[in-house]
Amino acid sequence: MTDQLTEHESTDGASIASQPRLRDANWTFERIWRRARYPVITLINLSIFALLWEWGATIYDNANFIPTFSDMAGAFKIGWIGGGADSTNETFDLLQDFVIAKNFWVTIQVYGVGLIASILVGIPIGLVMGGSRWADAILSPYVWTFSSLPRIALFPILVLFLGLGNEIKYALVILTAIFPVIINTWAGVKTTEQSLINAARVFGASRRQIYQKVVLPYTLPFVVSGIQLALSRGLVGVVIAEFLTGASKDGGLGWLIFRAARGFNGALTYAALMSLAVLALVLVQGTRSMEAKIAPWRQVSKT
Amino acid sequence: MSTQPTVNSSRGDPLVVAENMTVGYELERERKLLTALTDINLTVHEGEFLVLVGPSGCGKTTFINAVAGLLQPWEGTITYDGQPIKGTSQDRSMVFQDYAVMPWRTVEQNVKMPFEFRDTGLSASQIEDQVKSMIGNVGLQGFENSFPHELSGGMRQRVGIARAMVTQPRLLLADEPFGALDAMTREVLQAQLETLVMDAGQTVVFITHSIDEAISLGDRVAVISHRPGTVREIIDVDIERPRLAEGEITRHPEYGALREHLWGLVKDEALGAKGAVV
Ligand SMILES: Nc1ncnc2c1ncn2[C@@H]1O[C@H](COP(=O)(O)OP(=O)(O)OP(=O)(O)O)[C@@H](O)[C@H]1O
Ligand SMILES: [Mg+2]
Repeated sequence: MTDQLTEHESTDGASIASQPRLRDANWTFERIWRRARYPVITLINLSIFALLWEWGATIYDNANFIPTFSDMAGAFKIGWIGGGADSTNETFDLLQDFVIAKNFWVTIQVYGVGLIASILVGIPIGLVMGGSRWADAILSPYVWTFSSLPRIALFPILVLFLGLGNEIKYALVILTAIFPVIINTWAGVKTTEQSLINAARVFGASRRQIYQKVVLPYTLPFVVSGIQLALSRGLVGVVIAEFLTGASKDGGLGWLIFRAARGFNGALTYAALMSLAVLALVLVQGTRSMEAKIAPWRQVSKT
Repeated sequence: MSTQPTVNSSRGDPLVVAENMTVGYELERERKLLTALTDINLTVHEGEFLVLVGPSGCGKTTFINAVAGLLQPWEGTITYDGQPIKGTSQDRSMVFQDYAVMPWRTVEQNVKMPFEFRDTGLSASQIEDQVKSMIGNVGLQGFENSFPHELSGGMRQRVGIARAMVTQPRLLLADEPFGALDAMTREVLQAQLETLVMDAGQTVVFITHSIDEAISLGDRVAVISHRPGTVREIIDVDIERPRLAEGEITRHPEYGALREHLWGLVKDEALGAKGAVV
């Protein structure tokens, strides 16, 4: 590209005619850079992070607490795609082929079911509370009490009822995830602009139509933010539940992190932690773009 | 001013009649009632262009909300065609002061809204045509598929105007409909509205803060006093139409005197409103 440019300049000299071409070339470079700069910066950023990690861990020199980045990456690879676990004693060495993938799947199942239940139950509750004063008066003391209470404090009682199986995990996910959905949905209904409702009334909308054509679309972006909160809260819920339930085998990512750390397997601990971070990141970014798609009018700023 | 209209002698039958009407709002948080309008006596005649002026907060919007059927009077009565106004009606359409366009609908979907909730007896293609031509009338052609957040404030206001007029309502309630427009667009739309009034005999209740706009458009101008509002005075504007097509209504011999009189009244009320706050 640079060659072409100089060649072009040499034939045309410094004439005006060559200027648009020069600018054109500049533009393309700038455009490519503008598109690529964030991924590139992120890549550089992550590489520096990995290098610092490697270097710091080597100096710190305690692989149980902080493994080197490369050890972690090795455990990550074995845990996800297998082909490298050389241990023969399965009961004592957690780092088996696919161990992260297996536990990841366990976590995802509980988390997914709990989240879907929270959304399916939370939205109607929020809608009813927002739409009816009676429902609001009856339900809001419970909703506000439970949503303010540190949900984990309920664990000892829940154990009595649900035991230490999957049920208590679902319960904890739902208890952490449902309230942001309820409260945000409720807030959307409650704050629907009166002038929009008035407009619908003037043009003949029935109560039902006002609800369908004004209140619901107005509330939708609130619901999305509620779900977004539920995603991160629910993840906390499932991980804590997995910490506390302590299965004997494949108890989910939280269980794996807990066990690996207790067994001083630093590489696996960090590899599982990384997997959790990636999951959280993907979910949050996914819902962020979902929000922008569903309610473009509410986008305050673009990044 | 003259009490007997000379030019607009064709004033029709009473269409909206408010008698000793008092109306206001329930302030939920403070558990109080706020009287916005008190003891209103005002008649809107068929085919008339009635303008409401008055200081901010005096209850102009409240009045047209009552006419639309969005508010019920606390005392007194308000009737449309002789019947008490109980709710909204296809006959009465409204341009909202804060536009009230649905942010999740495109321009076209917003303008089409009045056909969605009521059966106007028009076929789908007729509706399509009417929506298209109305969007053209307010100068929004090419923006049919834009969302309100992609439009300027004045364009959003024009969406609200198009939506209110697309069904050709018998009574148009317009709450500062040209407030956010530039002078040029405003004049074009004023002239269009006047044409509509002359051709179709459209009845209009129109709120404005501009005295010039009030005199240019109104057959009568009602001055509302500061809160709680009541009708302070009604002024006839006996200037022949069309006033705007020819331009320069301001050169009309009556214009200056009318303007001065109105200005005096409105200033009085605005100052009174301030005094009330202190
Ligand atoms: N939804 C509402 N709830 C409670 N009070 C209201 C409401 N709308 C208006 N008011 C009160 O009623 C009074 C009259 O309001 P209104 O909107 O009719 O005034 P306005 O003459 O249209 O003013 P402006 O010229 O500023 O639009 C105001 O003092 C306001 O405080
Ligand atoms: Mg108003």
